[in-house]
This record gives sequence, C-alpha cells and structure tokens, in this order.
Amino acid sequence: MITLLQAKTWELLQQKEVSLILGYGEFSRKINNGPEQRIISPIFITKPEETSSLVWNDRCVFNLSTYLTGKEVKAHHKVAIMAKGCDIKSICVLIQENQIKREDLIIIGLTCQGVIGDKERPKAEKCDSCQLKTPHIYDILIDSAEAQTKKLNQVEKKVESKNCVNPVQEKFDRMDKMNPQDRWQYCLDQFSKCIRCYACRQVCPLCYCEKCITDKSTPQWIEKSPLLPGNLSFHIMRAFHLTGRCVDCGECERACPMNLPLTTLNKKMAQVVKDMYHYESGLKTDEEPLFGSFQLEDEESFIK
Amino acid sequence: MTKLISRDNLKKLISKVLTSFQVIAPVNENNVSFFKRISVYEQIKWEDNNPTKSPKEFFFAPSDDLFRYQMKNKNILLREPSNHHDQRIILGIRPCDMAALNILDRVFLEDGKDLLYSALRDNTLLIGQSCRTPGKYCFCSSVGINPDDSQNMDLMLTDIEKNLFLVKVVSEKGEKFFSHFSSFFQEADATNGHTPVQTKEMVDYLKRGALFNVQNINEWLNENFEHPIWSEIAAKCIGCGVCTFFCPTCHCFDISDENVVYRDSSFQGVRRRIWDSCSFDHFTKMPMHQPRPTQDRRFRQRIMHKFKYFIDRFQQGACVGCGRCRSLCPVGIDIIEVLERIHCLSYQSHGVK
Amino acid sequence: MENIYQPHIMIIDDITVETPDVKTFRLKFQDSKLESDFTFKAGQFGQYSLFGEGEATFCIASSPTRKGYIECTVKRAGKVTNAMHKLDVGDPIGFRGPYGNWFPIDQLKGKDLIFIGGGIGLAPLRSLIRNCLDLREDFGKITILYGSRSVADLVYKQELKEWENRGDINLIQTVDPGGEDSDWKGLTGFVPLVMRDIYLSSDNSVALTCGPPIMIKFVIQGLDSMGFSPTQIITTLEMKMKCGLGKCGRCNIGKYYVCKDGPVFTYAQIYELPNEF
Ligand SMILES: Cc1cc2nc3c(=O)[nH]c(=O)nc-3n(C[C@H](O)[C@H](O)[C@H](O)COP(=O)(O)OP(=O)(O)OC[C@H]3O[C@@H](n4cnc5c(N)ncnc54)[C@H](O)[C@@H]3O)c2cc1C
Ligand code: SF4
Ligand code: SF4
Ligand code: SF4
Ligand code: SF4
Ligand code: FES
Repeated sequence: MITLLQAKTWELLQQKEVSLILGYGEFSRKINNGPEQRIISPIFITKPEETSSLVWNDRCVFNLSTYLTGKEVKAHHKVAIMAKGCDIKSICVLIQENQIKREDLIIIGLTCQGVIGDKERPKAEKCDSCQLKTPHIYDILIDSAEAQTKKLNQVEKKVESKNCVNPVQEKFDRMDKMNPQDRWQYCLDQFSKCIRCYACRQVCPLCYCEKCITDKSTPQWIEKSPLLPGNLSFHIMRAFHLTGRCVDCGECERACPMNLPLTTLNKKMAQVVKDMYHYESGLKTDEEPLFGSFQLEDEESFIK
Repeated sequence: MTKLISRDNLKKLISKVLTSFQVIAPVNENNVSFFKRISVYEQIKWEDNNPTKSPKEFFFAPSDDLFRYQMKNKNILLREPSNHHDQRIILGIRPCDMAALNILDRVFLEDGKDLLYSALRDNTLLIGQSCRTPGKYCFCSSVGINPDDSQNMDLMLTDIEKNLFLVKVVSEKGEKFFSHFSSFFQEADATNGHTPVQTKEMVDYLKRGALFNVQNINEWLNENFEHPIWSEIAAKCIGCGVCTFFCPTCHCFDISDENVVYRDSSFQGVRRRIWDSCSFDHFTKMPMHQPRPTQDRRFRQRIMHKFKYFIDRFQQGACVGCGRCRSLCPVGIDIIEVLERIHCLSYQSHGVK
Repeated sequence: MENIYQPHIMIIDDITVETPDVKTFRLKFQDSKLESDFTFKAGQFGQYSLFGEGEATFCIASSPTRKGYIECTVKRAGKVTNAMHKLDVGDPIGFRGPYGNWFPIDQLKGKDLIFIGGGIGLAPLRSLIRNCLDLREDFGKITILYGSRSVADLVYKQELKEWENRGDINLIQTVDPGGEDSDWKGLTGFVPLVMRDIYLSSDNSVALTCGPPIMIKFVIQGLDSMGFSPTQIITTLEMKMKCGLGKCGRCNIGKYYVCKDGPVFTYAQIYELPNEF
C-alpha cells in the first residue's frame, strides 16, 4: 500500500521540486534473544523510487532539522523535510537566524499524538507539554493521528504501570523548587558525569556554529577534559547560547548516553524568557530572534 | 583450578577486601550502568549483561594527568602527576571487554611503554565474569571471542545457580588472591551438577555463529577505500563521540594544557591526555589542510581502523563485539548493518571474479 | 623508566626572524648530559612544548652533523606557534624527540640530489641539505629549487646567499607571480611550472620534495613525466599530530602512523596509501 506520504514525496522528487527528502525510514536489525527489531532512523532520499521506504509513526522521535545546516544538505538547492510540530519550531528558528531560507524548504508537517522515546523510555518526555500536535507551519500535511493514537494508548498504559522514568516536568519542578545550594549541588553531581561526547551538541538543530566555543583554542575558553570545571562551563555556556532559541525538542537529552537532565536547564531559561519578555521561540518565522530585538525598556532585573 | 563461592560469601569477601583494596564494580545511576569505585558491597548492581559504559576508563581515563609544570622566573619545574596507584580489584568485567585490553595493551605497552597505563594494568586484579545470556546487541562470537573466555582475567566467576558462582582461578595473581582468601571458597564437584548450564538464549546465540567473516571484511576494505556505501551509511551520522567513547577498544586521545593558574610572572598547570574521537571534525584539522573534511570520511576511518588498519599493523581486529556502539548511536547507525553489507558485497565481488 | 609524554627542557639560544610570520629558534638542552648524548637524523621531528599553551610539531631543521643544539623553523599558525613567536632568548621550551623516520641518507650517497622545496617546506630539507654539504664529496650533483609566495616569504635568506655563492650547488629560486620585488634576481613562477623549464635528469638521481600539499602533488606529476620512478621521489607527509609516539591515533593513514613510520615516504609508498592526506 502506498501511503499519502510516499505519494507526495514521490511527486516532489519526480517533478524535481526538491532534490532531497529528509525523512524517517524503518529498518530491521538483528538482535539476540528475540525477533528482529524494527527501528526508525533518519533517511536521506534522492530518488523517487526510494520514497517507498518513508514511514511516519510514533517512533519517529528524531528532529531531522539538525541536518538542514550540514554541508551535505546545503549543497542541495531545495529539500523537503518531514517534521513534527516540535521539529518545525527549530526550523522556524533556523529561518529567523538566516541559516536557511523558507523558500528553499518544503515542510512536510506531521500531525502527531506523541512519539515514543528510545532507551526504553515509554514516551518522549517532550510530548507531555506539547502544544503543537497539529503543526503550525507546513507546506504539506500528513495526518496519521488515528493509527498513532491507538498505539499510544497502549503506551500510555505501560507508562502508568511502569511508573514512567523521570518525566521531564517532575525533574523540572524538583530542580526549580530546590534551594540554591541544593540546586548547585545537583548540577555538580549531574554534570560531573558528562563525558564530553558532544552528542547533545551534535544532535541539536540550533548548535550549528561552524566552530563551537568549546573547540576554540585561542584563547581556550573551556577546558576540554571531561572534569567538572570544563563540564560546567560547557553546559552553562550551552544553556546561555540556547536561551530564547531552544525549542525543547528534547533531542539533546535523548542523545545523551549518560542520561543527563539536559533539557531541564534549557526549560528554565525558556520559562524566564517567557515570563520576562513574553517570548516563545520557534512560533513565527518572521519574528526577530529574542536577542536581536533588544529594547531600552526591556526588563533587566536578572542583572544583579 | 575451579572452586565455588556462594553469593553470601562473595559479599563477605568483597566487604573484607574493601578494607585493603580499591574495589571497582558495576553500578547503575540515572539508568546508566557503568563501573565505579564502590565503598560498600550493596552498591553493586549485578546485571545479566555488559554495563553501558566499558571499564576502559580505569586503564585509560577520559582525562589523565601526564605531568604538572610550574614556571617561576623563566624556570620550568616538571613534576610527576599525583596519580594514585593503589591496589585495585575490578569486578565483573565480561570477556569482550577483557579482550579489548589486548588492543589497549598493544598500543600502550609496546614500542614506547606508557607508564601510567602499565602501572594501572599491574596494580589491578581482574575478577571477570562469563556470560550466561548474550545481551541484545552482542556479537562477540562474530569476532572470535567466546562468552566464557577467561583471557586477561585473574579469576573468572560464572553464576551457575541463583546464589552460587563457579570460580575459575586463571592466573598466578588470581591464585595468590585465592590462597589468601581461600576460606571464603568451597570445593567444586563436577559430579554434583556444579557445571555451568548454558541458557537457551546462549545456545541459540552460539549456534547462530558469526554474522560476517572478519577476513572477508578485511579483504573487501583493502579494495574499497572509495565506495558509495560510505556516504550512504554515514549520511545521517552527526559526528558525535558516542560510538568511540563507549567503545572498549577505541584509544585515540588529545593532549591539552589545563588548570593553568597565573600569578604575577609565574604560573602552574597540568598537561592532560583526553579522550578524542576520529568522528570529530577537529581530529585531523590542520591550519591549512583537512584530510577528512566530511563525515563519511571520518566514519570510514572508524571502520577501516578497526577492521583493516589495526589488523594490518597488529594482526588483530579492534572490535570485540560488545555491541555498545550499536545500541547507543543517537541516530541508529548499526555497525552490524555496515559489516553485513560489506560481507555481502565481498561475497558478490568474489562471485563476479 | 621515563614518562614518554614528559619533555626535556631546552633554552632558546638564538632567534632568527626569517619572514614576517616565520622565526627560527636555536635551542640548547638545559641538561649537559642530554646535550652531549642527543642524536637525530635529518628528516626527524619533535614535539615542542610551551607550558600552559600546549605542544606543536616541528621538524628539526638543523643538521645532525652539528651537535650541541637543534633548530626549528616555526610559522605562526595558531595557539602554540603564536606564543612561541613571543619568546625571547633565554626562555625555556620543552622538547620531546626525535621522532619519526628520516631521509635514507646512506642510500643517497653517490647519487645526484634534487631538492624541491616550497615555503616553510624547506625546513626539513634544510637539515638534509646541510647534512649533505657537511659530507659534500659523498654525493653527486646537488640542485636546489626553492620557491615561496613572495620575496619576503623566503626563509633562510642568509643561507640561500651562501648556497648561491658555493660553486658546488645549483640553486634556483623562484617566487609566485606577483610576489617579486624590484631587486629580485631569481625566477618568477610556481615551483611545478618552473621545474618543467629546467632540465632535471632522472639518471642516478633522487628528488626530495617538501612543501604545501598542492605543490607536492604537481611536483610529483612533473617528476613522473620526466621519468623519475616512484622510488626516486621522496617526500614528507604532514598529518595532525599530538603524541608523536604512535599512540594517539591522529596521524593514522592506512596502516601507517605518520609519526612512527613517516614523515618521510617515497612516492612508491604514498601511492599505496589511501588518498587521505
Ligand atoms: C611532521 C610535521 C612537521 C612539521 N614541521 C613544521 C615545521 O618545521 N615548521 C612549522 O612551522 N610547522 C611545522 N609543522 C606544522 C605545525 O605542527 C603546526 O603548524 C603547528 O602544530 C600548529 O600549532 P599551533 O598550536 O600553533 O596551532 P593550533 O592553535 O593548535 O591550531 C591551529 C590549527 O593547526 C592545527 N594543528 C594543531 N596541531 C597540529 C599539528 N601537530 N600538525 C598540524 N596541524 C596542527 C589545528 O587543528 C588548527 O587547525 C609540522 C607538522 C608535522 C606533522
Ligand atoms: S551528550 Fe551527555 S555525555 Fe555527551 S557531551 Fe552532552 S551532556 Fe555530556
Ligand atoms: S559480547 Fe559476548 S562477552 Fe561481551 S557481554 Fe555480550 S555475550 Fe558477553
Ligand atoms: S566497535 Fe562497537 S561493538 Fe565493536 S568493540 Fe567498539 S563499541 Fe563494541
Ligand atoms: S554514535 Fe552514531 S552519530 Fe555518533 S559518531 Fe558514531 S555513528 Fe555517528
Ligand atoms: S601523533 Fe599520535 S599516533 Fe601519531
């Protein structure tokens, strides 16, 4: 059976409207002690006949917009990208920041009832607070909500029985309520575990700097070794650089092999920005980025 | 020599050695399992499979101090680092990670001995553990490693019943340890059913045999430095350090001067060796030149290094089949998929010949 | 046993400003025993430390026949090299080495030698040239073709004059088009092109070339068309290095570690390598 998604993308490539489609593919892989595992993984499609590999289901957790700023993808004159509401927010920021042009992109918006996180987490944490189950910006809309809802209901049950591991809101509230000393200690405990694999940075659609400040050596702002001083500088710096930009797609936390609560820090920054400047990132393509819209009357109470 | 130890006695034994040795064992925090120095037996988390993080960090740490320096009035004073070389016991390393030590040994002990590494190897007693059940992602049997191989271990534990371990005394060091603590052990009696019974999963795993042939892979790599599969497979690779940092055999590092404190005209600091990865863009970047400018080239380097260059140089491969890179890659790149494809391609190209 | 990562302390004895961004440092060991025991061969390199900044790789540019000191010629490129350019005579520098292989000087004996260098690439060749000049009668004709971007960018200007005045070397100097000044007496043109206009015989000779990768590529093509066989062409490879000891994995190309098995390779060896340098 050919799905609407496959038909639309076939057309895009066949009519040479785009030369590349960033999408989700389903693969099977051999594992021990059980049947083959069906996994979803990003797939780059350039030929119409390959579009039959595209799928959209509740395991499509990746935010593909991270590839948009890569050299290989930029070499294409126009690309189409499969994106959920949360992913479209980061596309929005990339457009605001002049990293990509809206007209060079066809957004295949996906109506979404929530996706399943990997690492045995029953549900991606970002989905709990998602307001964009139907995307806010798109060129083509693919709706497979029904099929998804059914599965997620099952998942939801599993969540209850499993007593969901670390839901992000709970982690956030816990950290928010701590007194400064405890919070600092919590940060030290967590960030001392970071091994500086940079999966969080590499997977982040908004960490697109050609040369990250952590890789700069003249001067070397941030120590490279995975010890507390450098780790703290790295993560605090990263949180600063993502303030007013992070769209809470949760990819950094999903990618982190040490399971550090990375989104918590970014969420806090987002909350502050929202309270003080009534700004939420990734909602409009024609809005000035937060840091590009300084006004004299802006609140500065955070400067102590 | 084979003995028995009950779980209770193992607990007593570990509690006792904790008073005179550093003990490192598998634990689980934040839902990630890894090896850690423990202070009480209860911290240990016995799992059926390999911890997420490999034990290589106890021989080759994410950050090692190489030496300290101090500058005063144009005088440089160099000092040995304050690395601690206390006697250690590492508990629960499995055969694949033990085999990985062979690879690190070749690099750090041969042709310019790395003193820090060799001291850490020498002061450590390795109480390994054989595998009763393969992990989901394991493929040790495809790279010639047996899940009950005791190489590099001093003692090997095999759990034969819920609360009973078979203990194989492997090395001289292990024998010394055993004779010192012999009261905790009891005699094994093969006639009494004290032989490990393979789980059904393990039988299936071993019966399935190798998923690919390392020799074929190696030969194909000889011919196919340029091939479309590299860019195909690596297109989605985001260039992080996950597959290499978690790999028990990856050993590339960077050297950096850190912790520098300046006071007037004097300063002091430490030179460190830090894990690095061929997946990173800066790994080979030079002022005017970048030999591996794209991610597919960096990905190819990783596969080539493990299945060709290392074999060419040391006559052994640099993958032990622990499966960590498969399970942790944030975008689902699977080394088995890569190797199976290469295996098929090599078969095809031979077929054509 | 020694800590293989720990450098020896050397003191800067002399500094020569070669070009606006290149300086040559003459270094002496602080420890007099090391000073007398230290030996190396032309083509080898070392890891030079600036404590607090890090290490950088430079070849030893002085001749192994001149004992008691080593020289390195350093182009400003980044963290360590910039800091080195700020040093004065008397300042300490760390040194580990010598590392790597060397030019096969014994096999060069009795042969005509053609040195083709570009920019700072003359540094490793200089060590060998000086070595050969100190044993002049062991070698046949010596031709040196040296080019740089501009007159100001020529390194070892003093030495080039001396070589020019020697009767037993054929020195040809060139600068890239637009890089000449009013006093320039040498040729104008890119090294590989200039090379085509001068007659180089491959008979009983060996060509040694060192310079920017792009220059080496075209020089090798040129030599090839003049009948030089791959074993008659010797060059050095530059890969990023950290340890110099065959451990850190950075300089790995194919089965070689450039820091152990190189940096000196014949073209025949390079031809076998994956195209990744
Ligand atoms: C065998 C060999 C011999 C060399 N001989 C000389 C010489 O005689 N004279 C000379 O001026 N230069 C030489 N170089 C190049 C020199 O090593 C680099 O220019 C120098 O290391 C840059 O160090 P930095 O700290 O100033 O730059 P950094 O601030 O570390 O880096 C600037 C840039 O240089 C790159 N880089 C860092 N370390 C190295 C390295 N070891 N090799 C190459 N690139 C690097 C960085 O990735 C970055 O892109 C040689 C290199 C090699 C491998
Ligand atoms: S992904 Fe996790 S371990 Fe890796 S650098 Fe980021 S926070 Fe650290
Ligand atoms: S790869 Fe083999 S040895 Fe390693 S954990 Fe799995 S079964 Fe055990
Ligand atoms: S390459 Fe992957 S499977 Fe092989 S040893 Fe390394 S982490 Fe384990
Ligand atoms: S873990 Fe995956 S994405 Fe990261 S470098 Fe390895 S293959 Fe690429
Ligand atoms: S420089 Fe470290 S291996 Fe060559």
